[in-house]
Amino acid sequence: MISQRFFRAIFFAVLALSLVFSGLEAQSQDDNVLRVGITQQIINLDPHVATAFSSFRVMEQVYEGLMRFDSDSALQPALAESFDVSDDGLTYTFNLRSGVTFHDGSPFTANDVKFSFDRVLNPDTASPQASRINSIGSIDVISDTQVSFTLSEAFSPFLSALPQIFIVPQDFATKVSNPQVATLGTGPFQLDELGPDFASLSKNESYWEAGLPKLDGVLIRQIPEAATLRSALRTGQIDVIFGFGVDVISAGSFAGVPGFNVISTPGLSYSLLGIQNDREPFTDVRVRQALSLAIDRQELAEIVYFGRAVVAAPLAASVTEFGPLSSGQLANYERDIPAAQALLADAGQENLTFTISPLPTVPEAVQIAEVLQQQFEQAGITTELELIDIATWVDNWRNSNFDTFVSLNGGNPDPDIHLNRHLVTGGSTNVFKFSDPEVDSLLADGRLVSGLNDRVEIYNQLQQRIADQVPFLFLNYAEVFAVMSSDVQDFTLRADQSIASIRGASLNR
Amino acid sequence: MWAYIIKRLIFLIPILFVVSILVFLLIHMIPGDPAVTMLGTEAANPETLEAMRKKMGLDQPVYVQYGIWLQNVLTGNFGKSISSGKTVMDLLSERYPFTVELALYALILSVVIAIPLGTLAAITRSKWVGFIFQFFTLIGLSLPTFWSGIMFILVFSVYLRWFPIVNFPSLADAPLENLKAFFLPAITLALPNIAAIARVVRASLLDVRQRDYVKTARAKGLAEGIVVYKHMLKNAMIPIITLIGIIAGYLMGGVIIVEHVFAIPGLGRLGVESITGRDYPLLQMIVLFGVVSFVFVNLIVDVLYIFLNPKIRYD
Amino acid sequence: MTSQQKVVTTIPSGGREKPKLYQLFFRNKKGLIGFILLVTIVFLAVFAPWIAPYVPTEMHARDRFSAPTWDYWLGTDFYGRDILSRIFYAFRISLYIAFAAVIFAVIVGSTLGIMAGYFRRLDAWIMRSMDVMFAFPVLLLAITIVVILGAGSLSAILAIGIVYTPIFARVARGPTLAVKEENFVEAAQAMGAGSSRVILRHILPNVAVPIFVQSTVELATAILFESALSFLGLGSKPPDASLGLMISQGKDFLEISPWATVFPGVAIALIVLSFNLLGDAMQEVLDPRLRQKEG
Repeated sequence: MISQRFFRAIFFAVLALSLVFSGLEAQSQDDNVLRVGITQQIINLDPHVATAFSSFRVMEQVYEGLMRFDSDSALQPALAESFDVSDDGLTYTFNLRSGVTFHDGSPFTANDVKFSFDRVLNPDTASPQASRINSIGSIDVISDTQVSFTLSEAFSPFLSALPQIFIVPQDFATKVSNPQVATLGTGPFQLDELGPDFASLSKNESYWEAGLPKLDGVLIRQIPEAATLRSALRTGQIDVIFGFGVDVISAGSFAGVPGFNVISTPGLSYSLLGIQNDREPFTDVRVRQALSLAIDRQELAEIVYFGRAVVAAPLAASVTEFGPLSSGQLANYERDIPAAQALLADAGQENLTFTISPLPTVPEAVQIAEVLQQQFEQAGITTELELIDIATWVDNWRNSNFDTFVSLNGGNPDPDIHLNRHLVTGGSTNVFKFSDPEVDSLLADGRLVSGLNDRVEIYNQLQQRIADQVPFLFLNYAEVFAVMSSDVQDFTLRADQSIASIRGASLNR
Repeated sequence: MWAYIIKRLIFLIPILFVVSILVFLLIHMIPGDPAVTMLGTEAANPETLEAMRKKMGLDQPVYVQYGIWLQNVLTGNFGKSISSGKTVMDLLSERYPFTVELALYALILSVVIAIPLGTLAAITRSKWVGFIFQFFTLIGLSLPTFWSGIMFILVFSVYLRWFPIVNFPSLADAPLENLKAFFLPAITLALPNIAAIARVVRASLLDVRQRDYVKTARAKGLAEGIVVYKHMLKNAMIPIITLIGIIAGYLMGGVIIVEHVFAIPGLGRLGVESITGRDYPLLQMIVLFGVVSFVFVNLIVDVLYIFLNPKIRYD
Repeated sequence: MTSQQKVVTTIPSGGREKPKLYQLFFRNKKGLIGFILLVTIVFLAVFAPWIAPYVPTEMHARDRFSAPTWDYWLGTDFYGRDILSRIFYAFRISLYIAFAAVIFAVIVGSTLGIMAGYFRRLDAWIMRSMDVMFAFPVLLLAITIVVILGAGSLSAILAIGIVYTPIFARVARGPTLAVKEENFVEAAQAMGAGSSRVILRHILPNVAVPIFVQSTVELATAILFESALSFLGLGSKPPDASLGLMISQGKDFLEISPWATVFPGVAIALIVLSFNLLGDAMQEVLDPRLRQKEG
C-alpha cells in the first residue's frame, strides 16, 4: 500500500535529518575569547554621545579617560599618571602617561586631551556629558605630557566626572568617519566588528598596562530574553551573563550548580517612584509624605528582588566615605498607614487617585509598579498603571507629563553627581519639578567645599531634608549580579555594572 | 504575459508612494521623537536636545523632511538609520538574509511536510488516520506562534540540547550548522501553515477524486500512485498554490514574532526596533521592502497559475 | 422573498424533510464540540468573579512560583498570583477584544465593500486603498497604531479592527456585485427603490452569510493576534490578566516555573480551537459538496 511505503519514507527522512543534526557539534570556538551575554541592544558607540548601558560596556573596553574607577569604585589615575590641584581648587594639572598609543599606532598626547574635552563641550556634538564639565573655563596644553584645566568656579566632583570623558585622538574626525559604528581609543581592546547583535573586540597588543589584557578578545552578544540568555550560558554558548535581566532569579537558578559561579555586589543605581511635584495634589508636601508612609520598601525588596536589595536612602550605603544615613535615621521611611491616611485627610485627599507609569524597557519597573499598586490599595489609595512605549515614555518624562513614574536612576559614588541634577531647582533631570531653597543651598555648598569632613556634614543635612520633603520616593538599591562559567577567572563587576575589569580576566577552558 | 507582469510592476509605483506617505504620517503621529529616544534620560537638557534635533534634521517641518527623504531615495540615497548611524542599505543588507532565509525555510518545510500529509489523509480509508489528521491540523491552526516557539526552545534547546539557542552562522560559511540553527524557528513559523496547507491539499484532492478523468484513469487500471501523482495532485495544485501565496504573506508577519522569540537579528525585529526608536528612514525602507516582497509573491503566484492552467489568461 | 431564497438554495434539498441549518450544524461533530467548548469558555469568563478561586491580582508572596497544588490548581506566578484565576479573567479580555475588533472590522469593512460593489465610481478608490492596506505588513501596522494610541484594550481593538477591515471589504464586495447584476435588483431600481432600500432589502441578506462565516474564522485569528500584541507588551495592561501578557511575563522564568507559560498558552489554543471548530462546521454545513465528503 502506498501509505505504508509513505510512512516508511517519512520515518527514514526524519531519522536521516536527526542524524545529520545530532552529528553537528557547537561551532569551533576561539579558545581565548570571552563571550559575554547581555539583553540590551548595542547601538551607537560615539564615546561622547552614547548613553546606553550596552554602549558603555563596549566603549569602556575601547576608550579610557584621564581617571578611572577601580573595582571598588575608588578613583584612580588612568591616562593621567598623576595630578595636582591648586589651593583654591580651581586649577587641575595632569601629568599624562607617556608611551601610550591609540589603536592605529599614533601616540597619545596632551593635544588629544584638549581635543576630546573640546569635542564634548562643543554644542554641535550634542554631548550629554557636557553638563558635567561645563565648569571648565579654559584648557591649556603645557607640553605633550602635561595639560591643565582652569575652572570658572570651584567644583568638588570634578575628578569624579573624568572617567566618563573618553579620550579620542585629535584627528578623530578624519580618522573615524562615523563614530557611532567605528572606534579609535587607547583601551585594552579594539573594535573589530559591530554586527546586528554583537560587538567583537580583539586584544590591543600594545596596551600600556604591562601583561594586560590577558584575553585575545571579547565577544559581547545581545540576547534579548533573560531566559534565553540563561539557557545560552547553561549550554555553554556564552561564558558570562550580566546586566538588565540578569537578576536574583538568574543567580538563584545557578547558585550551587557545578561549573558556574555567581558574583554580586551592592548596586549604586536605585529604583524610584518619581512624583510630579508641580501637579495637584502633589504640590502639597503632606501628600508626598503620605505616599512615602503608605508603602513598604522592605516588602518591595522582598518581592521584586527576593530580598537581595536594601531600602534606599538618598545615598547608597556603599559610599561609606560620605556618611550615608540608614533608613532608620530618616523621616517618612517606616510604613505607617494610619499616619499616611491622617496626612491625606489633612490635605483633603481622602480619595487620592493617580497613575503610575513604569519605564517600559526595564522589566522590574513594571513589577515594582504592580507591587506598589497593591501597597497603595491597602492604604486606600487608588492607582492606575499606564503602559506606553519607550519613546513616548521618555517624551512624557522629559516634559514632566506624568503623575508618577517608576524607573531606575543610575548612581555615582560622588554624592553631588548622584543627587544634584535630579534635585536642584531647574536641574537637567529634575523632571519632578522639585524646588526647595534649602536643598538648593546645601547642594551648592557641597560643590564648593573641598574638605571631605565638611562635605559629609553637608550631605547629612541634605539627606534629612530630602527625606522630609519627599521630592520622589527612593525605593531600593538592588544588588547587581553576574553569572559565569567556572572557566572564567578574575572577572569582577563594579557597583555601576561596569565590566572594565575584563582587561585582567582570563579563561581557563 | 510579459505585458501583464510589467503592468503589475508599474502598478507597484503608486502603491509604494502612498505607503511611504502613510508611514511618514503615521510615525509623526506617535509622540516622542528619535532625538529624545537616542539621548534617553539625557534628553532632559533642552540645549542638548535642540542640538541633537538639528544634527538629525528634525528641526525642519514634516513635509520638508518628507521631500528631502523622497528626493534622496529617488537619487538612490536611502539615508542613514537614526539610532545606529549605519546607512539604511547597510542595515537592510545585513539583516534581510536572516529574514528571507527564515521565511523560505519555513515555506519549504510547510510544503514538504504538508503535501504528503494532506495526500495521505485524502487517500487513506482508515478512520483513525482521518481523525488524527483532523485533530492535529486543528491544533496546529490554534497554537499561538510565540508560545510554540518558547515551548520548542524549552524542550529541544534547554532540556534536550539538540539545537543551539543563539548564534546564527551564515548559510555560506557553515551551511549545515546554519540549517540546524534555523530549524526550530523555521518549524515554529511553519507549524500553522503546515496545518492549513495540509487541509487544503486533502480537500482539493477529495474534490478532484470525484472528477471523471480520475475515475477514467483508475478504470484504465493505472497504478494508484500514478493516479494520485499524475492526475490528482497536479489538478489540485491551483487552490494549493493560492493558499501558499497567501501564506507567504502571513510568513512576513510571522517572522516578527519568531525573530523576537528566537533572538534572530532579522528585518522583523529591526522593524519593531525602528518603531520604538522612531527611526523614520529605517522604518520607511523596511515597510517598503515588505510591500515589494508582498507584491512580488503575489505576482509569482499569478504567473504560476498560468503555467499550471494554460486556460487562464491575464490581459 | 427572492433574496431569502438565495440563502436557502445553499442548503441541498436532499431528504423529504429538509433539516434546519442549526440542526445540521449540531449534527456535525466539530460544530457540537466547538459549541460546547466555546460555551464553557464564555461561561468561565462571564462568571469568573464567582468561579475563580482567588482574586486575580491578589499576590501571595509566600507561594511564589508554586507548582500546581490543591491550593493552586495551575500553580502561581512571579507575584504568587493564582494562574487558574488569572486565566478565567483573561478569557474575558481575549473574548472582549476579539469580538469588538471583529465587529468593528465587519461594520466598517462590509460597509466599504458594499459601497464599492454598489457604487461603481467608488469601487476603484475603495478597493485600491484596501489593496494598499493589504500590502502593508500587518503586524507592523498594528504595532504602530498601538504605539500611537498607547497600550490598552481599546487600542488593541482599533489596531486589530483596522487591520482586519480590508478582509471584510473584499468578502462583502463579491456578493454585492453579483446580486446587483441580477434582474430583481434592476427591477427594484426601475420601480424607483432608493439605493439604501435596495442595499438593505436585497444586498445585505446575501452579504450576511459569507460575512458571518468569515467572522468565525477571523475571530480565531483575532484571538491569536490579540495574544501576540499583548505578548509584545502592546495589549491590555497589568495588573489585568491577559493571556499573551501572562506568557511574556512567565517566559522570563521559564526553566523555574514552566507552568506560568504553559497553561496560558493552552488557554489561548482552546479558545482558538473552539472558533476553528465552529468555522469548520459552518463551512461544511453551508457547502453541500464538503458535507457529502465529510460524511
